[in-house]
Amino acid sequence: MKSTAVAGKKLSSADRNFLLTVMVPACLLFLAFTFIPVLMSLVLSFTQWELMGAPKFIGLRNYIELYHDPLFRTALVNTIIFALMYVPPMIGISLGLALLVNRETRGAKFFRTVYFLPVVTSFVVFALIFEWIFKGDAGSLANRIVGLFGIPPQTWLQNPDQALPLLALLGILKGAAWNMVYFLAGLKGIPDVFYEAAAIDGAGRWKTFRNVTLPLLRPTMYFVVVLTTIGAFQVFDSAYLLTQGGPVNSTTTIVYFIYQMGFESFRMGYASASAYALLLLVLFISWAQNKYLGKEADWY
Amino acid sequence: MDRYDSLLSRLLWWATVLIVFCFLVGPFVIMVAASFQETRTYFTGPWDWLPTEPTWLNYEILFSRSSVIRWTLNSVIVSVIPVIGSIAFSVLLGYIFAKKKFPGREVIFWMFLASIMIPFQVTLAPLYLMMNAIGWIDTYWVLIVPHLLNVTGIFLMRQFIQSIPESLEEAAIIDGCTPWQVVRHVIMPLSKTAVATLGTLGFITAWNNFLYPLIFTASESMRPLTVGLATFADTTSSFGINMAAATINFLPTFVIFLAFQRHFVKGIALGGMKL
Repeated sequence: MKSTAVAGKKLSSADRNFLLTVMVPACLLFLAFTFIPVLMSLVLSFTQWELMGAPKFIGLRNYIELYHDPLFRTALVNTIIFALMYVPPMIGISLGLALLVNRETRGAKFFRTVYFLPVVTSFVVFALIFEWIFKGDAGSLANRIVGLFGIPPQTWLQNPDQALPLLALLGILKGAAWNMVYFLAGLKGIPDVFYEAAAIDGAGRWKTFRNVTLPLLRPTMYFVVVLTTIGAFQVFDSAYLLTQGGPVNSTTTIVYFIYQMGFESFRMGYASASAYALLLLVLFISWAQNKYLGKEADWY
Repeated sequence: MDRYDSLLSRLLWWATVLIVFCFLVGPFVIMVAASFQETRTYFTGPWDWLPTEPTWLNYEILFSRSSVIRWTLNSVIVSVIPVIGSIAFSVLLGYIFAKKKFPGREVIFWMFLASIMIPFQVTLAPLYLMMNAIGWIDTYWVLIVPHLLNVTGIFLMRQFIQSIPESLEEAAIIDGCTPWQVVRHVIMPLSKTAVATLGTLGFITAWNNFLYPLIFTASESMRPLTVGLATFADTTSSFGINMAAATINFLPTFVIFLAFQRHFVKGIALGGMKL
């Protein structure tokens, strides 16, 4: 009768005790810190509440204000531009890195490991170094490097046109090796017979890559694209640490906007409404990507 | 897979990996070097960071003028405790979701799964109000308790435990093992790799956490290292001191990464692909 628990028909009392002791605290933690806050956020988004006094129900007015708020529009546009500058290069570079170190030599193993350093490092560290590299004055490292190509000194993070692309670059440098690992796993999962067949057919490197590697990598590709895009829409750390949303709001992203509304102006209702706007946006993008990219991605 | 045969392609390979190395690792070389270089009062150019006369001065100033020791201690507390808690929950719940059947399991499982899709920023405002109401703002509680349950970790463990043959577990049950003993003596020993991955990833994520402690701590003595150093760096404009601060923040994750790097890279692939 003890083995019935494994067969899944009836729970023994030891099993029941075990389940209760684990599931009750786990579900309480989940309810308290995820489920209830997510619902409460929705409720809050229909109220006006500046921490003082009681929340006031105002219906859809937060969402209407959001729709007309020029700063939110800027944040939305900035976030979308950021995603466009961040996701495609990120996919290309991390796939390139994976192809580069996907060999069983000692050198490749060494670089595979050290490339990971930015991934395990805090954004605070990264930001402090980058602030210096991309200083606006003529002698900074970045200006010396572009100077080699005859480009005059730039103001970089102080330039509204350059700040956001720089944050995208920073994000790519920080995260490329993370996605590289996904691609490495994907490449390992492609059976050798496909390469052998391609070789027999006389396919060169590029043709093999185009017609064998890339199509068989599709599930990995889908997974990485979705994760990277969701990450792009939540960008905050670099915008907060390096540019504080500026210059002239050119790096105010959606999450930065939520942070400002919620924890600088303490407009909890408005912050919740903007957080729900982010949630809807992320869900919509995941849905769209699933629809257009995810068709053949169901084997994992 | 693809052999690089000719000398030219070998050279090309080395050139490429070294260029990438400069971009990805170069900044850290600058960081460590500059932390030993007294910051010049005027800016002389891109080689400012070379420690021509190595000195501990930046570290001395950092340790005497900031609460860096307290911040480090805070970071250790709020990284280690949630990691241990979330590993315990992940193994136990992973085992339950993989092997146990009980009414309501599917509902709970799908609720957990769905929560991964939700950006955590959605919960920030209500969490702040809740924490404020129970007086947890600016305490260790707020930095520890909500992080005891890690849904991603539960899924990683579930995937892993599903691959453990049923017969091992059955044998243990016939021998009279309680479910706790099954987890302790059958599941745990077989999932060491997954647990190591989870632990390393969890520690590094917690250590590097920024937005959450930024919102939920207020006093300087409650800050973890990331937030403490970021605010400290705002007040000094000395590159050398900032780099000393960055090095201090970087060191623990670097050591943990070196110690567990095999599990780390393997585990991400494992957990990620299966999720």
